[in-house]
Amino acid sequence: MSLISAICFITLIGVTLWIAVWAGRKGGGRESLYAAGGQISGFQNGLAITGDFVSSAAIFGSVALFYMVGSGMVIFFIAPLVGMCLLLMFVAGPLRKLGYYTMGDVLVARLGGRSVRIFTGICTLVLSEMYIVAQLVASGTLFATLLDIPYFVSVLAVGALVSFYVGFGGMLATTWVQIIKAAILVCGVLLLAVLCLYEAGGLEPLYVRAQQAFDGDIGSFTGMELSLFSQASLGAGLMLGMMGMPHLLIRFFTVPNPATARQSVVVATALTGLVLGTLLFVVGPGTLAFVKDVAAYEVAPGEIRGGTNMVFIHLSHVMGGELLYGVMSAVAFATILAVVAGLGVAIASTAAHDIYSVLSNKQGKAKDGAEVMMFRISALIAAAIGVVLALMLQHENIAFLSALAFGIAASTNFPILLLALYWSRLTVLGAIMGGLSGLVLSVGLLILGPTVWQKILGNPEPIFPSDYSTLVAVPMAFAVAYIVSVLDGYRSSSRSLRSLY
Amino acid sequence: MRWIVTLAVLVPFLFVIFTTSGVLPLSFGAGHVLPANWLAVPMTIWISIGIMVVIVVLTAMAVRLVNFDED
Repeated sequence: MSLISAICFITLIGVTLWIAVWAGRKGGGRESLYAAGGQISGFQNGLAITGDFVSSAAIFGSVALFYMVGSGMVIFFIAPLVGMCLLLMFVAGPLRKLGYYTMGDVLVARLGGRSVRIFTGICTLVLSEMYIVAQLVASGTLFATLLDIPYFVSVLAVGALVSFYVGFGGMLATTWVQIIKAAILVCGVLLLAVLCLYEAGGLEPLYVRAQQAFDGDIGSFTGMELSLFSQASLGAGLMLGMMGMPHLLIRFFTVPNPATARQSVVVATALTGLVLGTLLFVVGPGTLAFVKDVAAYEVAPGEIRGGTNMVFIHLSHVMGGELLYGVMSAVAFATILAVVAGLGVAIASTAAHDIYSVLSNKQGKAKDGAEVMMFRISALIAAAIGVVLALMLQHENIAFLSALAFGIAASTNFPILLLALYWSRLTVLGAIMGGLSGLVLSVGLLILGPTVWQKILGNPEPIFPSDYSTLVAVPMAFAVAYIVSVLDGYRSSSRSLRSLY
Repeated sequence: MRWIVTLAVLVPFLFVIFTTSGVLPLSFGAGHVLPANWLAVPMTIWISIGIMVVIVVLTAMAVRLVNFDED
């Protein structure tokens, strides 16, 4: 690790730890731990949502895809923005109005009963933990290459820091870690883009160099070579998954009212659009122009050192030497910390508020102190499980875990949430059966698809022809929820929407 | 109005799905750049950036356009 990288990392870790201590002293009550006291402003929450959403996969993965297939991967940049617009239109306001701390609150407000809360709670725990494992494995691999530190050191460091942020500072600390991450991410990406343009001598020379380095047409829309079904299913998964990911949804409970929740989506959309647009317009072509076929960044001809996901970091080294390399490494570290911290809060609040509180006594409501203690313990356990699994799965192909988490979110949480908010005749049984069918289909079809069934399990042909099952699982979840609710006889457990709003 | 804005966002999204899957074949001539070779940036990139800007602008405008009272 160079001196500059060490300074960047120590500064980042020091600042974020100080924030956690500050947040812990400011308020350790349930309201602060779960929802930052509900006093985050729209702009701050917009920054935090950007910090939560733009993960290392979104940055490194999408730039690497541009490096490999050119502008054919544009769906990865456009689908999340569409998802955010739909989030604004249909989810943000009602979610804030009906919920306090978790998605389970919203469903209980609409449907009543404990079973639906426990069901969505378990889904939230499982998919958030899967996403944490995927992030931790990615961080271990990334920093082993970036900083030349052992895999387990990186995984342990991220796990320990996140359990401290979440357990001690709760949502308030997590929010500020995400705000800091988003700010340095936006600045870092814009700086890299300006340096690319300066080095190339403008936009036109940049694209000429990028095209010369690219094997094929950089402007072709069909570079990913996916079928219409796979493209549509992939796009639907990216778009709808945003409306079902618990760590994104709980961000709307940190603002004081629905209007501020909507305002925060607008800020998040603008900032995410700025980052993704800059990556697509300048940074992606920049990696082709300045990193491709450069011997210093290859271990063999055509094989990038550290894997293709590293082209973003290699580009920063080309543009700004050790200084920018150190800064961008710190940006990558902050990115992983912020996303894992958001997932940690989602797990801790769900475990304490949706599971422990409901199961601890017959009234379904634990004392505040006990719930707070369970929140802190859950944060620690979530990080510990994530670290252990990440260490066990170091050499496994776990890329499918991220896709699976988004798939489950899109196929399980999203249909239940949307129906609960907009269909007055949804019943508890309909919600659970609809969510279960989405869960079974999203997991089952992924196992039967090319990545797991053929590549990992070694079977000659996949049973399901695509890696993307959203287009099957989501309509099926809606259909099952509708049919079961109808057959359930429109039972009285569902309350009038008007009376709630 | 809520549905009009939603459709306005979904239409370019469907356009991207159909073009990236090859169902809607698009060709802009040699090099796929603007006719005057403006900045040599491929037309597909301009289209993609344009769609992103439209979505962001529509999202921002939706707060004023859409009556969210029914929330």
